[in-house]
Amino acid sequence: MNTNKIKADFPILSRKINDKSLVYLDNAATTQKPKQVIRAISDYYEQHNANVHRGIHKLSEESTGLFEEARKTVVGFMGAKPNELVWVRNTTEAINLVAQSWARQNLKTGDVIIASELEHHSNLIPWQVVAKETGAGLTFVDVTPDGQVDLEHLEMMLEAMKNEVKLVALSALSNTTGAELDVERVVKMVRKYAKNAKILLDGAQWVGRKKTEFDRWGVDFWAFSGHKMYGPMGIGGLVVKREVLEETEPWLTGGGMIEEVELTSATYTPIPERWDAGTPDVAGAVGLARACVYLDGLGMEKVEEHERELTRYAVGRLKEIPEIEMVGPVGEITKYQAPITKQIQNSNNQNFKPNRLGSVAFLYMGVHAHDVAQILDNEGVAVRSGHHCTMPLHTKMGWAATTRASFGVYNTKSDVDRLVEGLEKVNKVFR
Amino acid sequence: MDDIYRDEVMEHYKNPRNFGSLEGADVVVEESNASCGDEVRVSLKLGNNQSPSIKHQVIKDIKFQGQGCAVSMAFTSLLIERVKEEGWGVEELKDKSEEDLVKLVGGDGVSPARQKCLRMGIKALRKAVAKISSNF
Repeated sequence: MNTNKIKADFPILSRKINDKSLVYLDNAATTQKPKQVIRAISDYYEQHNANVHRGIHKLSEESTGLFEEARKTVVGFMGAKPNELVWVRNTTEAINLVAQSWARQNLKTGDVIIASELEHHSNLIPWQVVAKETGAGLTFVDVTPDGQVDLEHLEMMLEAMKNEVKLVALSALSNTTGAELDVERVVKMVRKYAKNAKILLDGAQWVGRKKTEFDRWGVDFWAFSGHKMYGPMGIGGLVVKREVLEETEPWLTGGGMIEEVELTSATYTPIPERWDAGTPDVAGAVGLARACVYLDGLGMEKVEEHERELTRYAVGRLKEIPEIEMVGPVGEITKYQAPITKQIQNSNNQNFKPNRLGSVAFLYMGVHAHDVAQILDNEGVAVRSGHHCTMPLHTKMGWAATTRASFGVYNTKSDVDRLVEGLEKVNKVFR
Repeated sequence: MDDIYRDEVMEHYKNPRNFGSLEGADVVVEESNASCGDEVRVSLKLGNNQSPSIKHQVIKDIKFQGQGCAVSMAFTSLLIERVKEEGWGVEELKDKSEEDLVKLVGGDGVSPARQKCLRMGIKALRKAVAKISSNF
């Protein structure tokens, strides 16, 4: 990938931070936006703004057309069909939508929801609420010492509770350990044992890094945010298998989703409009669609390869720093592998392919993550520190807080080198 | 950043003053920032004074224990050292606002993102003083 050309597409990357050129490594929190996306949004407001549907005037027609076009582009990007997308603000809202509609309508005492110990709070708390309200049980797949969802444990759980499990909700790509879920294996496993279970995947970290193949995978719910895939903040989606969406009552009702309304009753439009109550974020949808076009232009295979190479390079560089202990997969993956140091030695192996993508979080011996991040910021390197919304995982692993560098299409190996130089400063300040 | 990691602060981080627990403490309070995993425990001991009036209560000693980032630990150490230097009694300390204590430790320049770290010790000390005051 031509990263110089890509960097030039992102105006914010030419900013100076503390008199140093910005190295943005907080992409797991949100990615920056290319000028193509920014332009699509301002062009919408400057040229086409009008409320969608129901308007018999030119602007409303244009706006409606752009909105419908955006839906087609986004579902195409996700490998789904147009009537399988519900617009939401972000991944959190997408998961809450499932919790508040499908789960409330279908779960009862005796049913079981399976999540994992590494879930982002947005794929955990909605299930806590649902479990409390419906009486369903909530149980968790173990995480391996190197930060992956333990699929053997998942299989045992599915086999043991094949009639009870009604939902399996997992993160496709961990925002903390960077561990990738073997989606096809999970789908196969769930379908084999728990025939009545739905599968929900949190695709927040995945969508901007790997190809999404919703229909081919055959999952039921796929939640994602636009802002983590170079689109605007405030727009995202829930992709839902058609028959599931048809059978579920919408959580929001009102304008835009009705056919006929009487004072005491109403009939609803078919899907997907049935899920579009209220004036939608048309500019957001247009911006997100432009982000999909941008990523397709780069090619998702190329994007994944780029992210993988950067992740591999970062893991390699960070292992040179004795004070650093990385969390998550860092070596050839075998279940319950030897101690971390052993894995790092293995990573000298040419064929080293860590089962991780996009994020490298770590502990710095004797220095708190916030202090590490602060010193890096002074060097113009933006990373994130804290618990990354995975408190239970941090508690289980005994990490007070971790520092996380996460990559995007515009990052380069020299950005990773700047990170490493910044970490040398940490050593200077704290020794 | 120079405000946060100035030499004085780093010195306090590496060699915290008044660190430890206080035998026969009159009050022990805890404060934490769950989202950072930072926590601090402040113990406070009054002078040997039988007066029922808060006016006469002197602070004999303050100590702290805890773990956390450099900012939270160093500024707690600085805070306790300075409060002791001032020689304030309970009533005087009670009259100090959180902002007064931020000024006392020279924390005005600390960035918004680190305010929680800066203020953890301050909050703990104020909590301890409030708890003691409620006895009078």
